[in-house]
Amino acid sequence: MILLLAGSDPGSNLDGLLHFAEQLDLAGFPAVIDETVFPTDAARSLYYDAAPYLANADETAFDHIFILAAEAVSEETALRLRQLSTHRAEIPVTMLGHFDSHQSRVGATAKVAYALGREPRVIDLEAIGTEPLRGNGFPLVASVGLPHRDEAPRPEVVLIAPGDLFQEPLALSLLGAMAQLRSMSTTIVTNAKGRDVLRDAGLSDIRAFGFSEMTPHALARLADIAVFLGETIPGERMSHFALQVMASAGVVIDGTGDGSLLASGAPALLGPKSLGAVVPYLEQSVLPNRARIGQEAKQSTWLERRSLNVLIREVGLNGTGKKNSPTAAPSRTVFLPTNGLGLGHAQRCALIAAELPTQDDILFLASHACTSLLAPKGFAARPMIGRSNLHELDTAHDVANYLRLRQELRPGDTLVFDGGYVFDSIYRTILEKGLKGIWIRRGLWRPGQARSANLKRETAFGQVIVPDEAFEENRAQVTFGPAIRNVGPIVEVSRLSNTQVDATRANLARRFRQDFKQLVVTMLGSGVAVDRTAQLQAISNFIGMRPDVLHLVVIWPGARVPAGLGAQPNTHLVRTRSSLALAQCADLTISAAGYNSFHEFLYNGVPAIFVPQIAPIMDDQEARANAAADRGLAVAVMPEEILRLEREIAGFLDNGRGADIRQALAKVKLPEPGNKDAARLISEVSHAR
Amino acid sequence: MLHQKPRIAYCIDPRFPGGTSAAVASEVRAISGIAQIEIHAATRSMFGDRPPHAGLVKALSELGLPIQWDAPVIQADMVLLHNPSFLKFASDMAHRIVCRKLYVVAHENFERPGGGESFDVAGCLNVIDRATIALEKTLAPVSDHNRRTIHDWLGARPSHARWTVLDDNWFNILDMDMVTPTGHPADRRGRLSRPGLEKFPSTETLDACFPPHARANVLLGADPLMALDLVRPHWTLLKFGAMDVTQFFDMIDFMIYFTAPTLRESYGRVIAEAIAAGKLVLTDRANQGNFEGAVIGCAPQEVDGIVKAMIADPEIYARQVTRAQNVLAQNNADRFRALVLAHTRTRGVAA
Repeated sequence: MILLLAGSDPGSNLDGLLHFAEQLDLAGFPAVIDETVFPTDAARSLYYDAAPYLANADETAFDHIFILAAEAVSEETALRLRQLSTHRAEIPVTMLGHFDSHQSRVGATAKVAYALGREPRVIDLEAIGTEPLRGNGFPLVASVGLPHRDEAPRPEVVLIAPGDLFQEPLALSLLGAMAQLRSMSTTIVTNAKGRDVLRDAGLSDIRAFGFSEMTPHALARLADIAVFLGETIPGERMSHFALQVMASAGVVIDGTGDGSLLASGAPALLGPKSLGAVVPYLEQSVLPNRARIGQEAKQSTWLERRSLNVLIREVGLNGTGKKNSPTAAPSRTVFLPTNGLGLGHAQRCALIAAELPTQDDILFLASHACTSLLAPKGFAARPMIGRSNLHELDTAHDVANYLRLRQELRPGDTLVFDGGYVFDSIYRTILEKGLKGIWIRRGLWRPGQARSANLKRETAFGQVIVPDEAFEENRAQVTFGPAIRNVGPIVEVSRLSNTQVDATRANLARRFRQDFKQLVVTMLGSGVAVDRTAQLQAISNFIGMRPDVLHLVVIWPGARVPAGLGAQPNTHLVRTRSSLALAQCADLTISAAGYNSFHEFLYNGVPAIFVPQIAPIMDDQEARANAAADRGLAVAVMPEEILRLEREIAGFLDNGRGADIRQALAKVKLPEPGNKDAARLISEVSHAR
Repeated sequence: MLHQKPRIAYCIDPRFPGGTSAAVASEVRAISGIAQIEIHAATRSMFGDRPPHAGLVKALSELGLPIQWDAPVIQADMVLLHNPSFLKFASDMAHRIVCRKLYVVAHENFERPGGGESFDVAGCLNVIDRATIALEKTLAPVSDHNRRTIHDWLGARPSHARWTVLDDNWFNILDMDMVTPTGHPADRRGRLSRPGLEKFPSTETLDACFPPHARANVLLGADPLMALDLVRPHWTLLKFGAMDVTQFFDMIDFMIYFTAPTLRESYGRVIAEAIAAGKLVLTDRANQGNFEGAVIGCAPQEVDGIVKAMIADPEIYARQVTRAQNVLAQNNADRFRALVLAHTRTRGVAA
């Protein structure tokens, strides 16, 4: 393990440290950065960038210390070195710097020697030909981990430009036109101002990242061609990105005002400085020669000097690195149901997974609540971390999940995500690992939701499977393209026989010591996203006046249960993995209108009152419930209609409403379930090369 | 024949905060009666806007010697350039120097233990060399150890052989009052230094030198230890300048002085100050050479035994401190004047 320190101001120089750590890691030399350097006011994306490499250096067993940008060694760094070297007298220390004078080298070396009480090894980057682009001494080294670049028929052009450029006349029109080109696909990397301009202009069709949103390595995976515009290369991170693109035989075009890439001798093309000239230049000069330009760049001596291997040899790390072997293990299909507890998503994924031709290569990464649901179905499952109010940061759980995903997933794996919100952890892991990404995405959006920034992350997935709703009016398309595939509703069809129903009811009577004539099952949701206290109390009080009714409230793992709910003698809280079976035994089921429950009841003939959960993050349960109610297949009661809810319950218990609905359900023609189709699509992606 | 006093010009950076400026102040006082003195300095400085050293300014003011800033030419029989490291970031000098003899008084060691350079010596010497027309260009060591580092450095760099090395040490004048040592030494230990990491040995060494059973362990200038949160309940850590040096010496009977092993003092002024204050000094054997017979050279693990022995026999303690003070007393102004006169006369500088 190598510990990386910056000569000075590590907070500001974190990009350089992280890039170098990533390169070492890819080359099989695990490296960490002292966590004390992490700034307290770090941007959200930096937490993800840094998390894989931060470590408590005091407690880490490292065997080498590298000091980067060692031409300037601050008092703080010297003190930290003194601390870290105490009791570690045998660990080698190597300074890597860009020394602009002999005094700079002598002075910095002495400072480190005083801190250590022994002499460090000193490597002048300029002397070994890997001088940095930007003046400081962070080694600009090429990745050893990028895969072979295929000749994409529609190459991805990554345009790196400051927001000011987009405010020039016609700039937005030009960008809009670029997004429609068949000859290339466009991604923009810009600053906050640039993203604001694009958003305000409604150019949501163009994929845009902030400068610090993706690691240079992940961004380079996307880019076939990188075009730099503006005054200069914007920062350390983008310099690294340029290098990664060149190292993977991509084309880099320097259209910056100062031409700093070209001035350094980099194998970049001198490009136009104006946005308007970019497309003609690309189409006329670059695209026809793209492969040759990329290969020449990759084979250039400039790039060869910047190979990490040169540095590794110079430091003398040869032979100790253990190369990652991502292709050694067979690829897997990894299901990631999430958002909230993710029980519904996990259930849906399990139905699809059960239809896959082989089950051996399936892994579930899910909340702890879900893993207990999945294990009995025979699926391997490992827990992910849920959001908690106890976490200091609201993204803490997702940063931790990001680390788990990085650890679990390997290039070549297929990641099947089922959820409403594409967390940074998922988005980043797909792009960074080059995974085959599949999103099982809701088809029914609340008004306005479909324009959310979240949907823009759809582009990270090679395929989007949209399970249909049962009824046509709820099947609006929100995004289009060959990657979007609709399948029939994903639903469990598992009808109980009359004998099974009778036996179950008899068991319930024994278990709860109550001879009942009618059974009511309530499953209004976990109460986490939406508070259901009022509805639950109203239902249990109303049924409490009917001693011949047994009322079972299904409690999901992690659910919030209102105090006093068990005060009614005929109301009982139950946990079950067979809620569908329980509902089939009931005379009335009162349920939220989530995708799974809704379709299970329709397809298995369960008469129900749907009380939709209405929350900004949820799908449009109201529309779903109303669609069934309008066809006489259920009753829909809005959450605030408490008195009406009581009347509707009475209608089932006293007036035979349940029987009417059962009859209607028996007659209705519903679409074929899509479980098998979804599994087939996943299988095709998994087995595609 | 009328004998004129020799013209001696000082080329210095008066903003050196420590020993260099103090040494120049003592020197100028010592020789003001035997030479015509000029003081030259450049406004351009590695020390930025820091004001000149207060002690030096006071001495020059009392002697009526103004600092001449940025004179294009320094002309004298002998030019004394003190501590060339002030040129380590410079590509040229602000002055041209024309003289018979140029003495560059080293002050800093040219090499650290292990052979690493202390600063860009060649760069500094080349800048001086290019700016100077002189019959002799001489490097003047301030101590025996300083001399060794100069010889080692020159030995590895034949291209600098034009520089000769003075046979005598250009010693620091110690015009301090000598305090009589205590007749009842107690286990009261301390150390004093500037607050740089180079002045501090490893934690193990500090623990060995300043153990819990000592009656007092006072560490003045301990800013790095405080920054590292390296505290011990039996240590009194004081920031640099937190108290007067005299007050500090009143709190101890033994000065225990070890530095980072990658540093050797070129002279060790704090050691001299401790001796003058009547304290017994224990230090690294490598520092012993500069104070032959005046300090006890030892390893950190030996400190405890020596302290115990001295406390057990106060007479030996007093004898050792008195002997040390006698050694120091040899570095006086009279001897320094003789040194300067010898070097101005013998080679016919001021004919």
